[in-house]
Amino acid sequence: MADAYPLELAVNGRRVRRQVPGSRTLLEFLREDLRLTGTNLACDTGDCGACTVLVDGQPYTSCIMLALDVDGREVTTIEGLAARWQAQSGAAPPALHPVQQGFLDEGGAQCGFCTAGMVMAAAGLLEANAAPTATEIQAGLEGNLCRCTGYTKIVTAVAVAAERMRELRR
Amino acid sequence: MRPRFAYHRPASVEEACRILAAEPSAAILAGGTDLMVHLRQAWRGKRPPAVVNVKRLPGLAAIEVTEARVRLGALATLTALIEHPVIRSEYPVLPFTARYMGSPAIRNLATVGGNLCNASPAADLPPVLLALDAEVEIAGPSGTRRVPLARFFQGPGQTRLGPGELLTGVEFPRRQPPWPIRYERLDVRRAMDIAIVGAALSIHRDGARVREARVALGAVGPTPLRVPDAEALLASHGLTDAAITRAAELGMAAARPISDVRASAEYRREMIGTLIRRGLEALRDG
Amino acid sequence: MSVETGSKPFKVIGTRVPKLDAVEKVTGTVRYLPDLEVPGMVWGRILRTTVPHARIRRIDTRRAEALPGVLGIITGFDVEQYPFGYAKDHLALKRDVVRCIRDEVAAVAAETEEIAAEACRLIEVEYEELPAVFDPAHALRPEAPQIHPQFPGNLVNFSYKFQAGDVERAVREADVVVEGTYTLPYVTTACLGTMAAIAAWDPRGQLTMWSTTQIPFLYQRDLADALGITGDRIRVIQPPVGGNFGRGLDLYPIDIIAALLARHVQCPVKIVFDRDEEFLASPTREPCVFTLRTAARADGTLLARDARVIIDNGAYVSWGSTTPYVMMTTVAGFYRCPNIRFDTAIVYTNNVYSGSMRGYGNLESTFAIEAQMDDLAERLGLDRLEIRKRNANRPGDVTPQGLRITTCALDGCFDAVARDVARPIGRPPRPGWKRGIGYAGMFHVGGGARVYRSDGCGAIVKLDDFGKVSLITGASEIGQGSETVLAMIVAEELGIPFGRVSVVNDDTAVKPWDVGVHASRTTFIAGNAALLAARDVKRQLLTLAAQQLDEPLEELDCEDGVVFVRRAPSRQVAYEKVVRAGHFREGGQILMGQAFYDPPTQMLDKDFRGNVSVTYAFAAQAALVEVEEATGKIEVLRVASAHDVGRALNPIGCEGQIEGGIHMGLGYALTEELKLEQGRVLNPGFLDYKLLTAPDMPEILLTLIETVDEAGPFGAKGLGEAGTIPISAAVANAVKDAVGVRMTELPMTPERVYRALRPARARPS
Repeated sequence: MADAYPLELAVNGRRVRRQVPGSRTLLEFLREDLRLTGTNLACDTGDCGACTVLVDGQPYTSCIMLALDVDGREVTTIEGLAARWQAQSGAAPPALHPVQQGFLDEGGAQCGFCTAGMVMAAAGLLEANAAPTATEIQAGLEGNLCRCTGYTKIVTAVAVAAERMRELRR
Repeated sequence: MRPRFAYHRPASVEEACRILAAEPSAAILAGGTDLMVHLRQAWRGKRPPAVVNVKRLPGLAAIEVTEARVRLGALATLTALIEHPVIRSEYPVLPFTARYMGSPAIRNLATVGGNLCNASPAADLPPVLLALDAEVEIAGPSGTRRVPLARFFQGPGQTRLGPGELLTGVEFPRRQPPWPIRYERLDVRRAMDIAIVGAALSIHRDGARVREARVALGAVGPTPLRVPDAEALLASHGLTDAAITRAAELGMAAARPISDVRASAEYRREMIGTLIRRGLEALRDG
Repeated sequence: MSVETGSKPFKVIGTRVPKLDAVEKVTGTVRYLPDLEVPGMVWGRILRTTVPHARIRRIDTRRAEALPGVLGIITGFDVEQYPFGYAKDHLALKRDVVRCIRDEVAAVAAETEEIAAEACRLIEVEYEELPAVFDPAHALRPEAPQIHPQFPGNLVNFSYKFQAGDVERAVREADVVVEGTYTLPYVTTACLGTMAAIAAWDPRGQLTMWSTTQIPFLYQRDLADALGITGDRIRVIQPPVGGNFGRGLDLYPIDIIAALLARHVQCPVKIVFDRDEEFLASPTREPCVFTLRTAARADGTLLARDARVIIDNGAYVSWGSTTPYVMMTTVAGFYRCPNIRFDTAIVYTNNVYSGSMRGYGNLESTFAIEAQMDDLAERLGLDRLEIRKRNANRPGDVTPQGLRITTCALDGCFDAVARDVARPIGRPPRPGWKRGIGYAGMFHVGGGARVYRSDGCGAIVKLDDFGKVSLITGASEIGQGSETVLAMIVAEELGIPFGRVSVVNDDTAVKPWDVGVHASRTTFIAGNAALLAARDVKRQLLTLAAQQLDEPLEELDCEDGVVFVRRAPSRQVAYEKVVRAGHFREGGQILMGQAFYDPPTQMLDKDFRGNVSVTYAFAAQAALVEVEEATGKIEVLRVASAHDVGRALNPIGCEGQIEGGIHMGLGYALTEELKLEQGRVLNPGFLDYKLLTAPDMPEILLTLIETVDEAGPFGAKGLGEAGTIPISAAVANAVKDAVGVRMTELPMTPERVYRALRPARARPS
């Protein structure tokens, strides 16, 4: 049993190597070791989704994952989402991911504390389902609690983003 | 924030079993969706247990379907269960049930084995797997053994896993055509909720005649449970109104619910009857 | 409706403007308090009692102090601190006695959060348990344990007795009287961002606090008193906050303890609540038992209301004990009703203590009143909308307390929701489910609320030499979008694009004074202040430009960032040129306008009379529900919500406030309850404190009605709480409509509805 283990992964397109204690969560690793504070800690039990990040394009609640379990994988946080989109779409910086733009335009963020996780969950949803119905969007965001918006504008923001992404692909 | 805990990362099932044998109080980390929550609570009580991370053990995440059996590797995630083509077509009840559990992000983490080993009385998969006649495969110091799922649960958080033992998979017979099965669940929210009560109901018909039935319940006792007398009654009387009513009563009688923050024992008992009735009627009409 | 002022159409007001801070929020570059680090900062953590009522016999910190990385530990026995709170009934770190399960008994500063938590575990506290009381009715009995010796009988010494007319006579003469008792639960703001504080003392003894407060200036004074220093030594910085909803309306021990710890260890200290702690130790809405009688004539005309409310105050006094101010206003003022009696008992118990939360007393009284409007309609065989419109408030009304209704579109709100809720839904009720519709309205302060001697807010508008404008406002942004709407007001008034206004609002060392964010007052009060300050700077701008253009002031106007001569618009000069000319000359000047807006209102007098707000906001909601009789489950399919907003300055912001309010109100109606047993919180997490999720939300149909209130900035009234207030009453009325049972207790969980449907069979354990 070692105190710390080697961890090597890509975070927002950048290769990162660190020695990490076994008990460190992915969220702690991102926020404290890498100082990527855009991902928020709100419950620490996986019940609110505020800490959602993408691992290999899929949404995960980083507060209840160990950092070592993403060894060798590709993590995208809210700070890297725009760049991920630029790489996927060929859009030029500083273009935002359509989900980010949707949240911006449609009033999807109020206090904003859920926003990073919500945006990542939505981005993950759209990577798997390019044309979700409103019900599918709600289901895709079911693990992300918001206390401000009543989700209405968030669902609209994601629908607008999906439409925009489909247009860009055409 | 969790207290720092001792951490082991075995490379094989054998090594995992060796560590678990040496540290009987160690906790097994698979998806972590429950354990990582429990570890937070360690501040409030005693020191946290050592953690044995089995998440990346090779070979345990597979879902395998043969002519006769379906095997869900202990590390198969709920997402994998939802997406597996044969499961979707032959056992849609499993994706249906899995979708009740957590969120997409949680289901990417949570494993079938973890849901069983966590042994929550309110867990959703156990009643369904009980109704599918599942048995679990357990690796241990003296090799592998199989235990019917109905005997696996011992109480809240308690299973038959002994020192040095690790759940490696769960299997159930692949019946052709699959027996109709339903999972009925009562909850408060549409997502991120724990069942107030849950019931899995299954019947095997031979022509119009009911040959066998399964009635398995969740959140009405210290463990998920089957109701053999209700099953026998349905097998002998079929899905008549009277038999359905009686089966619901037997289910209520078998229930040993508690009152907690989510519901009272009385309500749980009444609702389990309602769900049994509802599920059986749906099987009759479907 | 068309939106015009004078002959000039609005350019900014009424357009859908994304929040100023949205870019930071969608890109993760926003820095909330937990994200901040101050050089030299260490972590603080609070140890709380394990028993709800006890004498502290002994605290042994030796083992904790020996833990490597621990920098210091303080207890109530060894720091200098002073009582705080509205009734000055407690200390941040308890000395001698703990009175509820959230009580703070020690605090640790350590190098890491983990070490601080481990140290808390190692502190040994010996308690001598005292008899405790958790039920307000029990606490009122003579033999009940006494919680504060200075408050005998466990009664908080606030009296809220109001009387108008002759209730007894009206009841005798009425054709119908309905009565009921309504039980409202503990709920809590459950903000996604937990409470947090950083305290840093400088060598001169000045304290800088980074806080989640929403009342920075009152906080300055309260914190100073609790620390025994003067307010001038405290500077408050308010980083973006992950929600507040009233949580930050009082001073709480976390801030005091952070300051005490930082002084003790002589370095900056940061404390961030974890989620369990947030549920345990952040304020709640006050639970209460609301007994109401309503008397009416056969035609539905209201004659009298008679209300008595018993409030579980918890162990200490915070704002929960003052919610009767608002409850009373609704009882005495919502719908016309001439004879009123209102009384309360506010009772100390050993439960966690209640504070303020969005809607502040109004959800509770609206729930009772609107239940009885339906009950009256049923008893009298009247249409439920008809009885409401018959009694609706109208412009020009003066309520028995002396509240003066100016603009009022309550009727129109009911018409709108009646229309919207009746739209086809596209499918019949599911088998086993019954469908029903319920209505409820509300009124609330919409033009500030004079609960302190001042209801004012200051604003400064500075025009710089690049033509950019800074609004420095006293008003705090807590996620609700205030800075955006204030910037819109300034942009509109100054005739510049919205993007040229930035807002400074987070530092008491910079911003002018404001009472704080409460009572839906910010758009109205801070908006008027911003508007006046913008007018002030505009006058200065035109005066300076008049000199430059050598034209009389009256000949000048401005638009799109240029000052021009009215009769010869091509003669113009850009703002920045005017400003620069002001800077680069002898006897120069800067262009900075300022204003302090304090509305022409009155505090309630000793008889609870006075016009506390310049104008009042009205709204109506309708809920379409289905109820499953076999389980008691309620599903809300649709909510129609119509609001008299005065003017929708930023429609996207109005909608966001209402939609979020509906979410919070539906949680109150259906799922949210902080459950206490023997004073202990049973569900301190999001798994069992059930905020509604995205799939739970119904279709929402909104109507904004513009009555253009002449007192409001561009006609606007307050809106922040309105969406939350009537919805639980509307849902309860819809349940009654669907399955015939009157739900009198919230939340309306499946089990409660099921029991109400089968009173004989199901009995509580």
